[in-house]
Amino acid sequence: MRYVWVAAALVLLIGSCNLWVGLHDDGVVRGRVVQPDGQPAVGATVSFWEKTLTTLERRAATQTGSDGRFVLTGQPAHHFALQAEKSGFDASPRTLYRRYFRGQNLVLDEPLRLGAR
Amino acid sequence: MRPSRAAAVHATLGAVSVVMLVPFYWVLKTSLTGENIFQYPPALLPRVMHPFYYVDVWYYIPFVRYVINSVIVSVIVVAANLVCNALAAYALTLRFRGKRAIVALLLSCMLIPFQATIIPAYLITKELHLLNSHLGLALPLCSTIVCIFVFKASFDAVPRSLIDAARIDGLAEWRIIRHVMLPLSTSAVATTVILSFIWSWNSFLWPLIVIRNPEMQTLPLGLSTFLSYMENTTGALYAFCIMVLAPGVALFLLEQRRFIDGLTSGATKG
Amino acid sequence: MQSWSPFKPSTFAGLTHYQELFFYDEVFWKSLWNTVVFMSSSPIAIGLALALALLVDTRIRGQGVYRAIIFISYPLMTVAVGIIWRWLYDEKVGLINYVLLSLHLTQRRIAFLDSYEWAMPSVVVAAVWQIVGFFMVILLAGLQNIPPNLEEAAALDGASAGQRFRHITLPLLRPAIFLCLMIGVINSFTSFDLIYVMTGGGPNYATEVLITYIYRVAFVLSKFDYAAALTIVLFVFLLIVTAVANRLTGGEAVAVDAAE
Repeated sequence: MRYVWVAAALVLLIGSCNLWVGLHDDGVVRGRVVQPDGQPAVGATVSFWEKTLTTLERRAATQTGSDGRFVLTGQPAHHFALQAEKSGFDASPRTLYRRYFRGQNLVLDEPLRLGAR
Repeated sequence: MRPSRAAAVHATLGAVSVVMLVPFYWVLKTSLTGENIFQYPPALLPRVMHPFYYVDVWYYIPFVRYVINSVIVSVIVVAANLVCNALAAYALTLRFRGKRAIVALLLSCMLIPFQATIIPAYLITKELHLLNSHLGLALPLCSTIVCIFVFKASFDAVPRSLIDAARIDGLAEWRIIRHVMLPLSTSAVATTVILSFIWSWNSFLWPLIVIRNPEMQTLPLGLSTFLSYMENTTGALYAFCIMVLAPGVALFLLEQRRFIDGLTSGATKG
Repeated sequence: MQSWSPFKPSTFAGLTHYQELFFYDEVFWKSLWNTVVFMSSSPIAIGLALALALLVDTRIRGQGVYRAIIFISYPLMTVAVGIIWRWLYDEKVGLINYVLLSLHLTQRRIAFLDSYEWAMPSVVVAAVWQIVGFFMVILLAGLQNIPPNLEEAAALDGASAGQRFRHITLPLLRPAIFLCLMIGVINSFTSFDLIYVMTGGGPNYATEVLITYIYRVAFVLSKFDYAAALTIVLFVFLLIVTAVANRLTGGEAVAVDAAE
């Protein structure tokens, strides 16, 4: 009888997890880039680096809009780094991010901060 | 019993329990926090959660593939064990010429550990072209001689009158086994299932020898190749350990009594 | 007896392999010695298990919990257990070094699995950890089979606890102890997983036991013929040790082996 409960609980857990993942796995990363003085950085290039167990590889890049925000799509990797660059400033430190599952939609809390030259 | 003595016994057993559980706690803590992989002195209590090693294991290591392989092999082994051992034990309850010699032969086979037969087993598996296959993995583990005697002891306890009545009713022999003997020997069946499942789930040497293809690896082999690949440079190794140990622990906790009874009766009978 | 390898046809080689084995192979003798040392884990584990069984058998609450906690190490995957212990023994970040240093039992960190003196004892400790639960459960079952009126009668007659233990409990536990010894001996002969994962044969064969040596010769060096000779030696040695243990614990006609 225990087995029925355990099996049912497992099936329920797996089913609901898959449902949640299915609804949220568009692979969108949203964030913003700021300049050292706090102003949003317009037209900065944000590059996406995918991290495997042994390497770090550059995969894609996108530009920030007029409000300093950027949207990266199509990169499902669950362990990655982002770096923002803009002419006239030092690149932001390459920070690592984690996702709970491949393609999780992320909205970054901390902005990518460019360095002062 | 005097309370002071009970307290002393509890204290000692508690200390021993701590010693027995420390490895689990340690690996569980590190797989969830990644704290003690590189730093020293080790933190005794978890400070910050970092559950992402499990995500690493899920995506970087074909964990599901390994589990499926292990499960397929274990299912084959358990089924074969049940069938072969029950049939053999039933044969041993009958009277026939040369029975004593066969029993002596089986008993002496118990003395030969599986590890002493890996070379001929490998050669035979190669001749049968079963290297790298689930059947080849399962074949040498298909019968544990101890289970034959466990079944035999249990079959011997069935009263002869039942069997004679079944024969008079015209049941074929194997039907007698299925409908009369097996339902009366549930503990022997449980013992066989537990022993053969544990043996095939944890078996490492045989998959190490037989498997050449990284996709056919079973769980213990997958764990050890990951270890040789990555040493302990990543917490994913410990997350992998936990994910590998979890089913075993869960199964044990669910069926604790049967487990312990099965293992000890398998050891003491015969 | 035959000179064989996957690449050459077989020829009869008589006893040359055994000659090579006994006279020219140092690693063989080292691995034999290591196997004997590894076998010492059995008596240690049985002693500990006996003490634990006696403690658990007293009428305290929570018997089942203690039994489960101590037993849980046995049905686990030995590879995972090996990895955990390998890390506990680590020189730089291992817990054991930390505990030893904190208790001021040693001045510097010890590289347990990389040193000649400590590699084998470390592996023995891990093996004892894994098997003590199994022995305890067997001995517990044996203890619970002793009819209590025997002990009560002896206590009434004025026998002390020590005397009761020596003259009643121990002789009645002999079959169980013999069983544990048999299982322990066979376990230590066939315990490949733990050693392979923890040390892989140890710093310069310091932890190489016979079974890992056979694996290495047969499947890494592909010398099946030599490995077959080694296997025969392993088997004969196992038989001898089994017979000796048989004599030592009072002789049982049947050697029983529980599947691992």
